Amino acid sequence: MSGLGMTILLIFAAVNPPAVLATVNRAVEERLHWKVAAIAFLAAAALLLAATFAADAFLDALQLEPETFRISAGIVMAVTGVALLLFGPFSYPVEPGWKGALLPFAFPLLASPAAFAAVLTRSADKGEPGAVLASLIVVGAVAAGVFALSGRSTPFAGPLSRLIGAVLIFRAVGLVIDGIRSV
Amino acid sequence: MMAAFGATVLVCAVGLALLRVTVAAPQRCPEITPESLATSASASADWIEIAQYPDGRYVYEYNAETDSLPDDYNVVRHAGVTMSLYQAVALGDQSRLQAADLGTAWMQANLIEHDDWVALRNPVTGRVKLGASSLMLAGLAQRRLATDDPAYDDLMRRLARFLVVMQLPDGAMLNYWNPATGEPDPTVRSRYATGEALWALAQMHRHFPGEGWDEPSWRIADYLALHRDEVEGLDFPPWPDQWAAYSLSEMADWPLEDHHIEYARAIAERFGFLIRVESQRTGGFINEPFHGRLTRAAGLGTWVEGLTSMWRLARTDERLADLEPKLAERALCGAGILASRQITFRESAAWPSPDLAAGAWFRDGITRMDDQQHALSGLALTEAILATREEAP
Repeated sequence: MSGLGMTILLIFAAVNPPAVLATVNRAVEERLHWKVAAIAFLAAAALLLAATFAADAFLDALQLEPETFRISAGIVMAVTGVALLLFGPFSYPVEPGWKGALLPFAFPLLASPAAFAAVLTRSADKGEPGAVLASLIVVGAVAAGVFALSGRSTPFAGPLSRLIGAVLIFRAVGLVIDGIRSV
Repeated sequence: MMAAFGATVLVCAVGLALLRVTVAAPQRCPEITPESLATSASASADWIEIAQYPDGRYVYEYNAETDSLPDDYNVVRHAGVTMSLYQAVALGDQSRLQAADLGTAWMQANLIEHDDWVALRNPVTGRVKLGASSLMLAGLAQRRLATDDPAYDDLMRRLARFLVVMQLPDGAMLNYWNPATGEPDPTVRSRYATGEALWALAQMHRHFPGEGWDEPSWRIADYLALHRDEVEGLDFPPWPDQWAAYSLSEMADWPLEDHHIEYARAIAERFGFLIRVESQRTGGFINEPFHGRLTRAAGLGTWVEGLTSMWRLARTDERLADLEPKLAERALCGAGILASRQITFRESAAWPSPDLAAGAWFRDGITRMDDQQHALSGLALTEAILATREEAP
């Protein structure tokens, strides 16, 4: 898989679209307004892009090498994956309108801690362009998908979120091993 | 709504704090300049010279807490310390030759002869351990490199023949030769001795290329690269073997085969990881439970030796070229940590025996001669990396 493909997969698994959809549908019965999805996309993208561009400065400030940070990022993602695998999608109250678009739709659902970890480590390792493109693709697709499927019955979302949680654990362990097996 | 958000932020904050004191603790690599590197290397060599007795032996261990010198000695480490002095000579510090030759004279007085070979034996126990002869030979090979003096050529060949006697068909090296049976002890291998022997024999091939020393070298290199960790049951492979790293660097232009390069990459990664972990260690009651004790210089020095060797190999072999910048960075980090933990001449004044404190590395109030040996080798070899950086536009 190419570097960009791997970045997309990592961010996709970290965001976990079915988990986002299940959380939103659990809290909101009607279909989301398109503006809510758009605001959530813009806010989450802005957060993740900020993380992408700040990755090097962030690691410098923490006095961490990218190889060492890979291990930390892997742990954050693995913990998230385990939580999803064991407990399924999280529950959040969602206020109507733009407030709900920001909290929790943009953060911590789209721009989740695991997504931040994924974006930071991929940006530090592979450069900003790939992380930027992957973040925009994943967050855009997930926001659109959640908008399209909100307010509908989505019984598949829970099991699928656990499956993607397992994928996230698999990738997270790979990251940790990669961090250990790097100069 | 805000309560849920607050709980999320709180969980994240706790998680980040836990990471910060564990795997994401700051990595500290003290800055090292060519001058401070040379000063530190020189101070460690000074310690070895000051700690040398008139008969050529060295102070084995110094306990600063009791201001005492325990009555103990280790012949393999004697050979290793002498070798590090010859390395310093080979890297340009000619002033260390006299002390190194004195160390060699002690070894020459304790050789055992058999058939067409000689080996270094422990004069107290009579044991003949392979590593002692390997490091004696490696030191003499460094001396030959530094001086072009053929005075020890015959001795080198006889030592090398002993090494070959100790080799098993699978390429591994046996650790002991038994004077009582007149045979190698077939039951004991050593994680150290095999790499030490390879480095010595590989250097023999450099100095005497037509004499066939490459054949046993290849067999050892294959064993190390393909079988050693499994056969010898070493946990968490690859075992970070700086002697193997020296050897692969020495053999760079033979050239190495792909499986050697794969092994070289694996040990390079291990050395790099170990330095990253060490850079997170600061000691103290908060850091130590999570990151472990500060590694003694004898350990940290070997990692720097391994990294500098892999750096040289990466500059020679394009299959490892991608690792070169990181290897340089980690070696400099390790050297910086070493220099920062060394007792300086000024600091030594507060110690009970300043002469045995200056230039040394202590843990639990104790320094052992191989602390200075491996630190000296690592620091001296890192000078080439800094010199390259100085030359870069």
